[in-house]
Amino acid sequence: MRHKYILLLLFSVFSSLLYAQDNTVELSVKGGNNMALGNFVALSIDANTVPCKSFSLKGGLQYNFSSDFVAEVRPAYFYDLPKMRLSVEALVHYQPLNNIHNVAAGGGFGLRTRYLWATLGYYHRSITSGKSRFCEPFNLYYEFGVNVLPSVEICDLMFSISNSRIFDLERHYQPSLIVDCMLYPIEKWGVVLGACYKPAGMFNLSSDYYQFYANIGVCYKW
Amino acid sequence: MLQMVRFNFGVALLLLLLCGCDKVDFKGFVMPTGDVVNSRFEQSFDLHSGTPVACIDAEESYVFYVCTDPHVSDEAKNLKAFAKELCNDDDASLGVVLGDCIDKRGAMPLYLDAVTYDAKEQRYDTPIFSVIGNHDLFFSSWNDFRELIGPSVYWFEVSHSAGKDVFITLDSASGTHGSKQLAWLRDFLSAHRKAYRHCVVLTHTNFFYTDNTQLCSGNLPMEETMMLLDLFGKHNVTLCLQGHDHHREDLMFNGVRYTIIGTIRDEAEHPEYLCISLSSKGAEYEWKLLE
Repeated sequence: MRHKYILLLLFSVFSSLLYAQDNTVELSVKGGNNMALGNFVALSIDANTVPCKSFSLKGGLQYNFSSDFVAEVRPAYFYDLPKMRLSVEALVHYQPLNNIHNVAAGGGFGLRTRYLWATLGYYHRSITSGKSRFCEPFNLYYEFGVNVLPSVEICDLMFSISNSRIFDLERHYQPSLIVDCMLYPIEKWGVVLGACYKPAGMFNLSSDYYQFYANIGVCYKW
Repeated sequence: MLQMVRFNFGVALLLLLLCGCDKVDFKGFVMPTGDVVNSRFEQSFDLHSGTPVACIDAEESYVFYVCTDPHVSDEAKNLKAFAKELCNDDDASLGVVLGDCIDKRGAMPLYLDAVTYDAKEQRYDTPIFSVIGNHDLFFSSWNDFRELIGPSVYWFEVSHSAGKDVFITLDSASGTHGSKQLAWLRDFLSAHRKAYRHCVVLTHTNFFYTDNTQLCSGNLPMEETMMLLDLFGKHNVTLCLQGHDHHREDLMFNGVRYTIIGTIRDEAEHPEYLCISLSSKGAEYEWKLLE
């Protein structure tokens, strides 16, 4: 079952690269530690394409050497206003771990300006194992971020809080704190650096460390 | 005017973060309220030296009582009623409180009093085991819990004519079990599960996000949830009993019965507890409501 899901999700993203005119592909390696897996290393590839006017497709695949694959796709329709971009997006997320399969699907709205961006949406999660299936009732996903260097052409520095960073879709009370830096020393090539801290139990008012990782990667635009 | 409102709001927020009130420890939103879960795990093992905290003799088919979230504040009416029912039941071998024992700074002695044997009102000195919950950590209450109740991670056995059952008590009060406890749990189940007829896991934070009755109250992170669901299914855990959500839920997943028991707190509309009969045939539930 898992291969069907993964292939379907990836095919939809990467096939659009062939037709689109504004593409970004990012290869990245992630290293960190969390309470469930201990130390981990993960490789990921994700793409962002605009195959036709006002339509974008974002998604990719991550392989964690300590657990398993995660695949995610987000097609979006966007509308540009003078100082902002509004978008409506759908989300499909799939994460197997041994015998347990976590599938989530939903949709949301996005707003992006030079300095700020926000995404807010709803998703539905289903956890299955063999014939057992559990459906969660209601989940919000969100991301709120700020780009502190919007006027520097070769560098972006962004801080965000999110429960839905790509490959890491959590319940609404499980946010992560993220810092991302993108450098573009050469016209089409970029370097991606980032770090993410995820606490547990924040809304239980007894928070504790859960996860930290750093990632480094390269991206290519054409 | 706006500046004054902003200033007052800022000062109030800062004071709440620094001091909290007597019930809710806002500091826990941004930082641990005391020792972190890995440290509590180590202290627990120092307390019981890696051995079962009790071995209870019972019949092949025996009964145990479970309640959760009493949130003892100024009195413990429902918890005392639970203890009285339990300790006057000829068939009951043990009782369990699945965490959030207290709801107020310094209320642990009152909780302890409610679950301690009272010879005037109770016929049997039936043991009651306590699980730690997130409210039991507020205002560094872990120190009280450790000194008055004992470890937060431990296990005990029930011996009967068909062998032994094991009850594993976990510390999920911080919304994660922590790397050390998870590693120990994996090793324990791999090494010892086959030696027992039934394996019952007792923990506070519910694994399944079942409803929105407590919109902001958190469960475990997804990866940890999936890992535990896989682990419990693989090792044929019989029951996983949980609290935290305050609302009853009972479901089977991957061969394991996951049950959330509703709260027994005094202010609850329908305070309840659960009587479980455990035998070689499996587990049978009888839900009981307190008046």
